[in-house]
Amino acid sequence: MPKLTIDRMEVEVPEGTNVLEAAKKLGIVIPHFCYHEALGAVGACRLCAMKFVEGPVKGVQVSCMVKAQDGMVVETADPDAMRVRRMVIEWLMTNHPHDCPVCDEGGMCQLQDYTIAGGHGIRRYKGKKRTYLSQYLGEFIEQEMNRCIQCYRCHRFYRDYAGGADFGTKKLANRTFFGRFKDGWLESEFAGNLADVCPTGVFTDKTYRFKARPWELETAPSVCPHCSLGCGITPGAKLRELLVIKARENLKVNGWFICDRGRFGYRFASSGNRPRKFLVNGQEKTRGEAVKSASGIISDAILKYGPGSVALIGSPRTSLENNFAVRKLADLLKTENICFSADPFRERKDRRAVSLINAADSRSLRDVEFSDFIVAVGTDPVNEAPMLALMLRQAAVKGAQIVVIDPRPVKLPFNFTHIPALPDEFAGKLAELAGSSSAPAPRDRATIICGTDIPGMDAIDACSEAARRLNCGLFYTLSSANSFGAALLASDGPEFEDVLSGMESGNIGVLIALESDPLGRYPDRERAARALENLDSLIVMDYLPTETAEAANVFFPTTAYAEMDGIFINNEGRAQGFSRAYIPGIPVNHMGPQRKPPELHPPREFFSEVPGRSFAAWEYLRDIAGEIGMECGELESIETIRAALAADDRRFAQVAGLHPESDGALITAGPVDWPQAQRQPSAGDKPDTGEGLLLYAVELTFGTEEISARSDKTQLRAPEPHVLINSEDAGKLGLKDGEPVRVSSGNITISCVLKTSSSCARGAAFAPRLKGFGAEALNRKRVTITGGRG
Amino acid sequence: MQLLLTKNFHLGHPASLKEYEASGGYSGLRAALKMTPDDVIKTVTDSGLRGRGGAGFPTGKKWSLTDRKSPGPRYFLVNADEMEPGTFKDRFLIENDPHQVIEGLLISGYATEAEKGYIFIRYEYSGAARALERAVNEAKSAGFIGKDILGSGFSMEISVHRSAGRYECGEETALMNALEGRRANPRSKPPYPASKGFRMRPTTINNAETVANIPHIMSLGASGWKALAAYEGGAGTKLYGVSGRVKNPGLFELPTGTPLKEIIEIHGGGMRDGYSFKACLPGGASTPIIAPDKMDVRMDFDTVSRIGSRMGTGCVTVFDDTCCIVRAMINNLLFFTRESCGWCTPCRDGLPFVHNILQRIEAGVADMDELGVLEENCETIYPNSFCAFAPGAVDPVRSMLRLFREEVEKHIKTKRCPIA
Repeated sequence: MPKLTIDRMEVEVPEGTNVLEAAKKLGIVIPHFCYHEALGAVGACRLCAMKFVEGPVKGVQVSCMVKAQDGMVVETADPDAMRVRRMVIEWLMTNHPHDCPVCDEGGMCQLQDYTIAGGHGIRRYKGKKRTYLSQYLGEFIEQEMNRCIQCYRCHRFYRDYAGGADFGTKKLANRTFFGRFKDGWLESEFAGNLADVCPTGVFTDKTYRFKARPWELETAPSVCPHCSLGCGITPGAKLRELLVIKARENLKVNGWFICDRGRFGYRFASSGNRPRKFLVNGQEKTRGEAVKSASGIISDAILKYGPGSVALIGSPRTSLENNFAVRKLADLLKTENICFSADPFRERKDRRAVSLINAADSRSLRDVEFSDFIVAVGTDPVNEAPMLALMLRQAAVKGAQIVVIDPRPVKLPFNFTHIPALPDEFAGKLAELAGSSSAPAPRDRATIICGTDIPGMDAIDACSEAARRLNCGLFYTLSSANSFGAALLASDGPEFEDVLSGMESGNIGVLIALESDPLGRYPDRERAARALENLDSLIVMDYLPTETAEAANVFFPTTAYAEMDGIFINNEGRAQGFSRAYIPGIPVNHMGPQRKPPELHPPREFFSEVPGRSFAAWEYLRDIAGEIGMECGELESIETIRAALAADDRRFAQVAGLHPESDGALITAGPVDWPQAQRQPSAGDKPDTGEGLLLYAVELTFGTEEISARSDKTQLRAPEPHVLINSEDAGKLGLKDGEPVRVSSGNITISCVLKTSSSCARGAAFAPRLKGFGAEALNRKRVTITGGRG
Repeated sequence: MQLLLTKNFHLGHPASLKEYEASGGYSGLRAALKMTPDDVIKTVTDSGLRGRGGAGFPTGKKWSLTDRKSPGPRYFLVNADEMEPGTFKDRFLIENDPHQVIEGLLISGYATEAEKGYIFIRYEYSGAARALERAVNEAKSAGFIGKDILGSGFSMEISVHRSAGRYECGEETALMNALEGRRANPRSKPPYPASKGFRMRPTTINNAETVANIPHIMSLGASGWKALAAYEGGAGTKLYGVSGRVKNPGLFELPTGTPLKEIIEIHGGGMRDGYSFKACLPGGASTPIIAPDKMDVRMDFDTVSRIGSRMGTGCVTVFDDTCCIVRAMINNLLFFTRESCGWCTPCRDGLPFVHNILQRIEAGVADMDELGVLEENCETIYPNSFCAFAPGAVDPVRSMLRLFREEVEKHIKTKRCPIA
């Protein structure tokens, strides 16, 4: 560990640390553009000059390019170094436009900051500025090339870090251009990070363009809700409108970046069709009236038919606290009809995976980056958990060998071995790989990754078993942001399948669905619809305009992740807190007629309460319990809920004092015996036998995830409904790529276009779970595909 | 004097294998293959040969730094991406006697235990490239290139690669990037090419003229070759060029260390009638100006360095009395501004600044303060850029401000160019 002196202060840093980082450790931040923690030091901008007074290197040096060594004495504010920094800024400013007043980066622009810090104030360059024509890069990212200072961060992120190929450096000298070969959408699923890595306003978030200044934004540390990985994000809102998501550095999970689903999938929160009213039988009511009505329905049912007539569903996409409140209310009502997901088949596998993870095997997303041998079973990372693909790439760049066993035509931004096997062959292929001579010796830097969507229970078990036997890491991807937390609360309790039979038999008359959408999520929609019709009353709490919400007798509008405090437990078992960024309500910009901005500015209408204010679901549950006459002090505040969680269950001991910006708390199910999680596949889950192609409903980066599918910008990248099969299978059927087809099984038929691929497994068909497409109904069914429109 | 590098230049066409062998060609290779690689390196070290590309790094030392311990492949690259303005020595060399470079590359590859050699040639040198390609094919059929060369057990393949046509491709690490199909940006060192160069393998890279000298060192012996220099301390012969308004512009093979005055006045034939000598760039557009009072300097690396310039490529550009020094520098900077690879700020954005001020001075619209800005730019660009490109670009301007300050100031004071 070299020890050096910077500005007369001694600092000791790990071997290989550059002097710029060493100074940062002392709190001295020297201006820099090209250096980025994730992208490394390349010495292109020459801004971070420092004076080296003593030691192996002497004179003014670019500090990012010098590794800290013993005996170095460095002055960061030496006049010689300051002069270099001032000149570098002056050079960069020779071409930079003075459009800060209309630039979205203004206020968070490093060039602005460093121009102030560097001391360059008066323009001495008398020549013309160089100008460019900017490109159209799609609806996510706006390019304004005139602002470019050529730090090469975009190129290094897009090509080197994320493995994208359609964007790069063109031209040379001071005409160097960063863009695509021609106008068009950036293809990488991580393109949004350009807005974060760009130190000026060349690449900005197009969805946030001209909407707010950074200092106007209300922000809070948060956790992404769009998959189970739990990446750190910072949502920003202005006047009750969620406007932007930025990546938040979380070195245990996502590192520095997030995927485009996480960045641009936020627009559901301020979308015009978000439900904001308390409704009783379609009539708008106050919060108090809705609570009264709900509690009346519940107490009537209990009085008439006993506690067993009431059922509750929690949700894998809501916070641990909300789910705990569901559990608490069920306990108070003394009903055993409680479950935490409306999709029992995915939940069952989530629960199984959670029961198999233990502290010794479990790997964080960041650990994946440092693995040297990775087998991914039944997962298509870019589509199911995009940031996993980015971490896998980092591992591949570091030399890791990566094998993917999956029937889909998996595409990843690096070289890997693809074994296109069907789900029932997963366990066998894994055993083959583990037994072959090329298998890694038992070592802890190997990691087995397993999906929980298309693999069967046997594959999920086989991965855990192999990880234990080979002594390597284990990493499951789960279905939703808080699937882990929901599974822990569900433990060995019933699942939606049980609740559904109760509804069908008429034993259950009242269903309380908290941020849960049985109509949209239960694969057999018809069955769910019949069961819901059978109910006396349906009470729904949600922030999304789901089909179930539309069918509700009593509806409570709730809060999205950025509008409340809460905890998600990610796929690894890491409990991470998130905080409220802004108070939810109808955005000021939607207060005018037809949800347009108000005609008067500032609005001349005054309200004593936030219009359209919604609250966290646990508050409604507490009020309902209180109204029924059951006092529940544990649901008093977020703190009391966390204290109760910690006291009730020692697995949650650490959540009581969880700080949103901490590394989180690692939680495991512990040695558990959950017969529920061992339940064998029921009819809906067991793959069909017989003739035809076996269809799997699958996830895509854009368009299939429950929350982002209700965001307009991410929907732009959702593909048209399609079914994908192997090209040889297509040839046998006499079908061609792009042809309209009908896919049917029994009496279910869906219409879409056919896509073919030579790299997917034979005998299978894949249809994305696009909203309204109906692919779930055919999941794991043998289908016949015929040409022609439906 | 004995001509070595230019002995086949009289033919008037690229020397064929037959002609080359008749003039003693490939005897150096035969001699080298009988020695151990270490002995070849020692001979080259003893000969005192220094890199002819302009930097003058001792060739033997460079070779000895090559990592020959770790397993191959290793590469040897010949830099014939000659794009320094005013320089044409490698072109003449290759167009007239391409086999010299090939033989030199084979010996160099043998010494550094490289299995593959690339000759990286400037895009515009299509004639030279064709001559090289023909020569490589000839040498291949004759068994000089390929497996088990001349029964020695040594194998080497050679490819001729045409550059994409940018000045920066001649920087050794940028050349490697270009050869790999990447942008020709320089790489940071360490790692040095000797351990991680082309394709991150141990790589040695030399200028075409440097490599062409190797066969002669092998044939004449280290001391025999070294003694050809014009003075004690020099080594071998050197290709010197003269361009500008002289009577006999051209390329001359002369003993290393021949005085600049002799090169211009005797070999270059002196100034054309009606013109007088004003100044010169001793070795390309990136070497500081030499004024008439320093004309006695011996043209060798150390001797020219001592008077505040650099020998560079040894191809002298002569300015006569009708030439405005500011305009000459504008021309220089226009070249460098365009050719910058765009990697680092001082070069990419600093050089256009310098170019702009020079233009303003020449146009008579600059004021005295701008002279200070010019100086500050040059002095800050010089030590703070990523590679040697930008220092080379501003060095002549710095020397102009030292040697011709009066002429520059006259532009500003009289608001016009005093020469035009």
